[in-house]
Amino acid sequence: MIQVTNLTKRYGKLIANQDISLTVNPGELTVLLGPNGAGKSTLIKCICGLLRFDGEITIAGYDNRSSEAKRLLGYVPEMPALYPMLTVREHMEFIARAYELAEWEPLADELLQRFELHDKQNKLGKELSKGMQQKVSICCAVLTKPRAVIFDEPLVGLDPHAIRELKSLIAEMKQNGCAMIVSTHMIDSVEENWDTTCIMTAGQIARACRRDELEGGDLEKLYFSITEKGGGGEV
Amino acid sequence: MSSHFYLIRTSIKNRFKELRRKPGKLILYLLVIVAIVASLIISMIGANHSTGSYPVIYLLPILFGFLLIFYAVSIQKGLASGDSIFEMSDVNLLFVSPVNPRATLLYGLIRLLGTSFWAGFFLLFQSSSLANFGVGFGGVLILFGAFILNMAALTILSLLIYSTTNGRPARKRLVRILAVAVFIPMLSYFAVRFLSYGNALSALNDLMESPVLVTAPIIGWTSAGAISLIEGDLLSGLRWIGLLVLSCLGMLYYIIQSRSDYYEDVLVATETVFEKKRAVAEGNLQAAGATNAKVRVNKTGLSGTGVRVFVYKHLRETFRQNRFGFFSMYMTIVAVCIFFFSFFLRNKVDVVLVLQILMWIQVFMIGTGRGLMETYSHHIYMIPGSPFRKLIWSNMELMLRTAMESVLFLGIPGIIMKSNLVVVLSSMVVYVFFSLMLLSINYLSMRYTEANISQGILLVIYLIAVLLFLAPGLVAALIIGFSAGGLKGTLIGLFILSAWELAVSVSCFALSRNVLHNCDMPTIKR
Repeated sequence: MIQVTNLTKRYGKLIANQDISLTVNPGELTVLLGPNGAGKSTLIKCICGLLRFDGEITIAGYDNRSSEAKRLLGYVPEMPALYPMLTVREHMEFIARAYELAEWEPLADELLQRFELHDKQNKLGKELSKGMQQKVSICCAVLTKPRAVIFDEPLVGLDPHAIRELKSLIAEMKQNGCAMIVSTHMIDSVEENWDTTCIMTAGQIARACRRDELEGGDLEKLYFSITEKGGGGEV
Repeated sequence: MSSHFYLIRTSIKNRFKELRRKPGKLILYLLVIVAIVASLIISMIGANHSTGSYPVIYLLPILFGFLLIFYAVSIQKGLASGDSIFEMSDVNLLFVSPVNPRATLLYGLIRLLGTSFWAGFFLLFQSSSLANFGVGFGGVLILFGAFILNMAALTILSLLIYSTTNGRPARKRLVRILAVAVFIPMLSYFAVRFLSYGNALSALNDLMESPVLVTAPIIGWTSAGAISLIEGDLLSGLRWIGLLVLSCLGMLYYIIQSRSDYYEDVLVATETVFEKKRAVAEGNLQAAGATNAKVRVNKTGLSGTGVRVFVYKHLRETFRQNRFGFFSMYMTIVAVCIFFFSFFLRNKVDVVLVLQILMWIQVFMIGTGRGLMETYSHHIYMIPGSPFRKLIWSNMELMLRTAMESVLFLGIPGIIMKSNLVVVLSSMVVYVFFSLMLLSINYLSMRYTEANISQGILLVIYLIAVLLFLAPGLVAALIIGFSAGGLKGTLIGLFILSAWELAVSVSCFALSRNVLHNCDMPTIKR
């Protein structure tokens, strides 16, 4: 579903991502791990078509810049950026209209209910706390029923109820065949659901492995073995 | 060594050290120096060859109107959260340290002067426009100095207003009334003199001589002081500027005496500014532009589907931000100033001069359009649809606003000035097409720099691009217009200019039609 082939992203002389390749199949969750500055957010922004890059990225076989790919892709950014003068409900309506969604309202109501935003539908973006903004951002990303979703640090600022709901939403989407990439520093938050992991250091994937390849299945142990020994794992 | 002195000295030193690591910034500074030297040479040549098309006293209402915008912003800030003269680092490190709070305030003021210095920098590039009033480089420097002082005074005023009205609605109401009422004596005096003389020049001269100007605080004193100094009336000029300095000292004295613990008063403003800066650094320009003002949500919902939804979203945001829609505070102040200007100087100036001033303002105002702000958010990139159609629909609201501005700023004043109707209509077309051209140049700059550049350098590139793109059309319009002469010449000149602007706009938009595909989502780089 998400196919990244030989992706390199340069900022002048600085190489933020170097020759990265990864595949996320339908119904799979890939967790992107790495220390600060490893290039995770840059990779995510490239996949979402927000940055230029060398290489190839496809979503369900479509070039990631094509309208077909955009229609299939959802994105929850690291920093929720809501429109200060739109209400919560209008954010959902904006997405629904822009993606030309039919019958979007029942799903919008359900999402608002799940993330405890139903009583805040008429609150403006600027009136929301960071956690609530993050919830709206998640609702907007999944409203389009995407076939692939990228989450960049989705749990930051969320309350325990929202964290539980998000985890359960991710599990449901996985079951429905949605391909997902989750970038996070909270390793234990993805322990239950992950299928593959890519551990990034210095703009490269230092280790990529599937859950069944990992002895003992301890993701945290794997992470520290890669990042605290200066890399060196298998790619 | 005093901690304050250490902070100032080290910050300046590190700024210079930074230039070694950031050559782009060094180039920017060099370009600014080159531009100032060029401006100096141009104004020296201009001063030798021209005495100006208009008397320098006409600058008084223009300067006053310009400063009025900053005055209104300062009053609003004072009533909301105050103005910030400190950084969050000062709050976290300096405020909790055992240092004298008065020395900290002085430190804040020194930094404030530095900030005001940069805020007034654009005035140095106004030499050619100011030459119309016979103002040479010395005069430009006087205006620059007066502007710095004025901005510092307005910041202190804002601080004072916050300190005395915070949590007191009755006082806030009083400040709102007083803020407007203080200008009534000055305006009434001018109106009476104008009616008795029948011409604005004599009325303005009388106003300058009259003590009634004392009642127009800060901006009235700044305008009168600067114009007196430019005219060579040293005594009068120093009197006004002295009054301005004394008022600053008085306000500071009041703040320190009445509230020895002023830290609380500056905290909210500092935190507000810090949050905005953080939002900008994170690319969340929408949040950075949001105010704390209460917004009443009455009508909800959007219209349109696909990329057309952008225009309806922008209209909803505009009308929610301001219940009068496009009639923002900026638009109202500019319109009122132009109405006054066109009424009192109707026999002296024409609509083309107003157009010239508006075009200059628009160079900077175009960046505030919602379409350009949209490029800092991921939605416009991720929503399916043609990138070119997204550009068009996301800027439609701005073009509607510009069309309305052209009627308000040029159409109505043109009628007041009894200008030729075709000239007025042509000026409106020039203004709208100029805005379109500026917009297209913004996208073109974004495309060719790939948005991977510091904001300062991007601004310089944009300004240079505007000059380069406008120059051929402007020169052709001036040469052909002047050779034809009279009304016919004006009309030909305006026609050539508008046709050129349209051609440049279409070309730039065509070249940058895929900008949303071909460049990085911009982030604010300093």
